[in-house]
Amino acid sequence: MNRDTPLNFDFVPYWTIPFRFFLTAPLFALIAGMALSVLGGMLLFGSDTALWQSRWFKEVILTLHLVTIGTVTMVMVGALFQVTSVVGGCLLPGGKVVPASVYGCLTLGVMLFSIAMLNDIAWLFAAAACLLVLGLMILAVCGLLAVSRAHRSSPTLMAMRLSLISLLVMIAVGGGLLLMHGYPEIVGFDRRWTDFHLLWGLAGWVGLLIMGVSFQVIPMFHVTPSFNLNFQRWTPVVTFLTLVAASVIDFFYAGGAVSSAAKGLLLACFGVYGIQVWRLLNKRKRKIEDVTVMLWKTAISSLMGFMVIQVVLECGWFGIVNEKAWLLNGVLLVFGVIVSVLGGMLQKIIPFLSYLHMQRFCAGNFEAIKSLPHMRAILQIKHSRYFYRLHLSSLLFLMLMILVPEVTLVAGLSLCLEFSLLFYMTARVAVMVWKAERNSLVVNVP
Amino acid sequence: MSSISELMTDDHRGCDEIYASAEEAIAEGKFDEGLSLWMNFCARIEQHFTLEEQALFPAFEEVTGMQAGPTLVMRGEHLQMREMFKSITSAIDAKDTDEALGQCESLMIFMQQHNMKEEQVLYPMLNDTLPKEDTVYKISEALVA
Repeated sequence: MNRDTPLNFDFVPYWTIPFRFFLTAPLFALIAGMALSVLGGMLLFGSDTALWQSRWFKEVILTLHLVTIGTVTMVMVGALFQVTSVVGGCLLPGGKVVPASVYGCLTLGVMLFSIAMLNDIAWLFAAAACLLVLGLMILAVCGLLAVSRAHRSSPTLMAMRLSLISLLVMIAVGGGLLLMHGYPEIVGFDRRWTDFHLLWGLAGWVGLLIMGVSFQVIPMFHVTPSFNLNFQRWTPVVTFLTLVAASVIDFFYAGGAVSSAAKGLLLACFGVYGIQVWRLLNKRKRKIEDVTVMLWKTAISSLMGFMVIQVVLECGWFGIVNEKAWLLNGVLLVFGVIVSVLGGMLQKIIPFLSYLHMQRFCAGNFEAIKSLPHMRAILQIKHSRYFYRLHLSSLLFLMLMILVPEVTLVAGLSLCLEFSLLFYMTARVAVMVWKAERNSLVVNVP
Repeated sequence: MSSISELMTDDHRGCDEIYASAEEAIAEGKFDEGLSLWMNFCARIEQHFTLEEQALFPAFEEVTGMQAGPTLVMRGEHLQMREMFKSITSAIDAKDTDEALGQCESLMIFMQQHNMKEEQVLYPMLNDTLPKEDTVYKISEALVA
């Protein structure tokens, strides 16, 4: 039996570690919103810009990666540093150096990637590739080490392990794709790797991590029944195996019936998972208004919409086989499903973490603990409500934007408003925790 | 036969259900009903804490010799939650919906984090160290009573 059983604060990462990721994430979505606003403005008031014609256009690749790396991955990395300690009882190795390195590589990597994309500067693609691959590689290796050292096994840890393996595959291919963009004449450009990268990034790294963490947080935060144990054990494993099969088959036999069937199976795994989450949320005991639940339901509805469009596309029904439908589905998956879930989780994780650390600063003094702001004062319910409404508005305008490009300016502004608010909400809490720490240091100085 | 871990985890869920009903009543402004449900919750969770502090933790400490280990941390958190119960009771008494719901949310987060530590780390350790039949009997007796 391990005498260092991690039940105390020594096994919780220092508060600035997750917070730096959570604070930076909205800023990249804000930049994406600004980019959309500029593009939309150009379309409305001047140039002959043609927007949202193909997934291969610069504006699509740029805004997609600002959100997927700058926002989605940033939040997930911050959460991973925290979750491994809570779920596995183990901190990621490397002290403060690892989070600082991962953060630095990710932030600088996304910025260089954006500049490279806008200006077509070959060496910047290579520099961005090096930084992003290095940062995420450090994260994946340290994450896998932490999971392997966990004090017990659990389906959540298994899903985290599979997600981190997917991350390794995704970054290896992603780094290669950046080099293909920078040096196509040397490396060549094979578009099949893009779908491979997408599948491992979205279904593997993001999908499996969300799945694993949800096994813990949905029953915990919403007082729902637990996920069935066999469901927890098998869904991540089956999803991962299906992902391996679907990505390989799609790479070699793209467009064939076998490829469609394999991708259909992968979709079915997430469909069953989505239905299960919806079912549990409907059985929740806490009936009070909860923005996180609304965001989960938005995500599952978007997932179902995505699945319907994907089936129509794969089967070629109604003659809908075009880039617009593909882009519409991209918005539904990335913004409707993934950003909704992460936005919802942040509504719980941010007050949870800040309260946890502010309690720590009280050093067991009950009077001081009593004077701490409560959860609804930390993250105000009215702010969460505004965030949810803005998120729905951004989702609707982003979808509309694909069909009617003239809406791009409005979609961009909505995105700017949504993520400015999220940044304000997070920064407000960070200042609160920082002040609590500073006051505790003053009080505790002999 | 259920394990120690399963029985104690089930009791956490039972407490959560009463908590959720109390919270719902407060949110709807039904303070009398909310207070009554809240007191039910406090009594039920006190029963759970007492079982842990007076039977399970001492037995675990005796077998393992770990006096200052995880059980010490859990006892500290029980004390902290008892203080939070008092604040919430005062807020319900004062019919202050925002304060009561805000405090409830803080407790919920704290309690779930505490439960997670027990369910994932401490209870599996109890399963491994304490005599199953005897302990399961003690738990069933204490929680039924």
